[in-house]
Amino acid sequence: MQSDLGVQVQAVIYNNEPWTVHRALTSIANAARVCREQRGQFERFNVALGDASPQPVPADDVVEEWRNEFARDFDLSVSRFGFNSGSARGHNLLAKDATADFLVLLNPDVILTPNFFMDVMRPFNELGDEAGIAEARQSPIEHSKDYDVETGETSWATGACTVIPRAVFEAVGGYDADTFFMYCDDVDLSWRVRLTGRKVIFLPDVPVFHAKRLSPTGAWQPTSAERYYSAEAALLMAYKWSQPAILKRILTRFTLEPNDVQHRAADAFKQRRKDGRLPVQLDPEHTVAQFIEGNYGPLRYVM
Amino acid sequence: MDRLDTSCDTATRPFLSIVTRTQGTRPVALKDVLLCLTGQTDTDFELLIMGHKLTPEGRKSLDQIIGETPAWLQARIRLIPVDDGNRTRPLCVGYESARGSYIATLDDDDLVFDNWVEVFRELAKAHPGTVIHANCVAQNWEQTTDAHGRKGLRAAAPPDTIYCIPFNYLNQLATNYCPPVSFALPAHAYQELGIRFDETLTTTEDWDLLMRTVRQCGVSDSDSVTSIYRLWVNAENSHTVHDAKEWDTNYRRIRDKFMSEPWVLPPGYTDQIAELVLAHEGGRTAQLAVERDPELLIETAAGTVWFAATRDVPGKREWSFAGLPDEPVNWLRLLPTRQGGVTVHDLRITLTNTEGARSTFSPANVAHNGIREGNLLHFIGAAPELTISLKSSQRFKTITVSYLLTSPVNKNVVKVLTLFSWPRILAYRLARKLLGVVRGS
Repeated sequence: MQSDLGVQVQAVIYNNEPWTVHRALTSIANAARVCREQRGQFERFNVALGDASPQPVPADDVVEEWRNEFARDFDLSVSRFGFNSGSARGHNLLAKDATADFLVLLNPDVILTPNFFMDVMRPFNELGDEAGIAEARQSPIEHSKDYDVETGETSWATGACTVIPRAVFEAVGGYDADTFFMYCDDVDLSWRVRLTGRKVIFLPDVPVFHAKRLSPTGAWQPTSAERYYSAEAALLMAYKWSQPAILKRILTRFTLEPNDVQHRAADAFKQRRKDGRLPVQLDPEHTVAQFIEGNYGPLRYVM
Repeated sequence: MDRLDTSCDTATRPFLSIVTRTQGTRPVALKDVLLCLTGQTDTDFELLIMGHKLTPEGRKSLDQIIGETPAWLQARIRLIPVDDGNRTRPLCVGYESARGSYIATLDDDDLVFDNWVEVFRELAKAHPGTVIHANCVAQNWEQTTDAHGRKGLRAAAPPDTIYCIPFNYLNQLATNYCPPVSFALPAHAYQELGIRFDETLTTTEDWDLLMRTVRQCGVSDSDSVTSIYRLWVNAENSHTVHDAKEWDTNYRRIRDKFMSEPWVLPPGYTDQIAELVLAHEGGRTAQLAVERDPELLIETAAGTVWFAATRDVPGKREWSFAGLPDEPVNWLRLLPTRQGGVTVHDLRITLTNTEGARSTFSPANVAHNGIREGNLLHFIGAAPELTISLKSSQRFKTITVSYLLTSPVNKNVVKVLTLFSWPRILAYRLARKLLGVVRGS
């Protein structure tokens, strides 16, 4: 099935090692080659990198080198934001200038599988306008959120690798960058897409490599920043998605816990409330939002 | 560094030869394997894909999958068809054809992290010529089929640390705790010393080869998790293909082979053997627990940092933690082991701060998730933890720990806990409920 569709793959860089970004670009180039050779739907490919680092990453001469190296496979552009945008605002800025039909919202340390551009279009071809977002399976550590095995329907799509028609992204106003800096921006985007009646589809046969690692005890090793933004996002999600009882419970727990990160998150939330900077509340009937034991949908298992 | 070195000079010997056997029947899993190799931070490897008894369709599918990989990876791949023998045969051919200094088996349904080759290389550099062995987690996976009949894969449980870290000779002589993906063998052992696969074995051929190589070359370890061994809950695996009798016959044969050779154990094992003998003779009520070095988690303003212990004197139960951060520490957590049903005897934790002041902790003044009985700490559940919260943050120069670990927990202690467990659980639940009512009001 060949058509004249364009796709923009975009990633926000913050002090990433340039070689990791190059590794991701190499995989995008290869997936574009396979798509062209196998007469997939995408004809035009461009990659937009948004650099939110304090010093340019990668350097201008390296960008030029990469642009030449990948010229046959895609157009490469790099925007220097000049401030730490966070991933949500960074993606919004990149999408603002996009002209492609589809956006691939990617973490800069994610590597695409060769058939990526062929396989991720399946939900959009099969469901038409009902499909809002397609999500690839992360490897080697898969996210444990549940999905319907028969249909692939799931509560939300992780921001590590999300495919969304540009028109849908624009229609829902992109990521809520005023509320979410680093965490839950993806859950919030997914739920707003679902509020429009579209579905989020998980693709278990489309892997992407996400360079994560485990501790020697087989557990995650979140940094303090990750724990802080995760705690902050938990409060903001409960507020935004009209869950006052859950918000109260989390806020009480964070205030009482002898844990500096959660204390700070609770204080930041209270300050935001005092300043009138909380988001507009959505989904009062709880038709989309799911809060299950601290997660945003059912899990198959707990990591 | 702007890019990884992905140049491929076929005249130069690569560091690692990766041998992947496949029958071409698991294309989705094989694509995962190739994707994981695309993500390696160290690309100094060659990949030998051993196509075992391929059908024409299987060969076609394999050619297509390889042809879709990035050019730099394709340049490293050799597809070698093998049309005879049992499942060990393609490994034999692969290991004989390998050009690398080390050889690793990566099956067509394994998963590896981006540091799989990198950690092997670090180990080989630090301990050249030894068998190199990294941490591997097990994970249950299942095959899925969607409404259109398309096959997918999904994890069905969290990763589990059930395998052998650090490598333990005694455990390994009893049964295999090291999946093939967790180790690499020096090529000279296979190609020059003649330590070959035993092709008469139809299962656990990797255990046999590993132990015969370890016996000659020794082993070096890394705690880094570099791979996932997938345990299939609803798809074909070696346990569904071979029956229990076959497994048992092969197991017995391997144990007999071990019996026919002299074994030299490295320092640190005599105590374990002595305790096993004593336990066997009824000289003790508890035997030494499966020993692993303790782990330490330290909380600083920058986050939680994990440390592995180093044993100061081989065989002596005293450990220290090197490379402590030059940052104020708020609290620290010691994980003596991961198994439950253990008793910690004579615990002593000594913290020396950067000004030389020393503080010592015993069971009486550490928080823990066990039960204290004088100088003993009993842990019924898994993942015992000992926590020290510091009144004020301090920078530490050294942290040393000593204790003895036995298993199981004394049966009288367990009896007392079991007798009183229900009232305690009910009281706890009631307290939680009351707290919830107070908070909710």
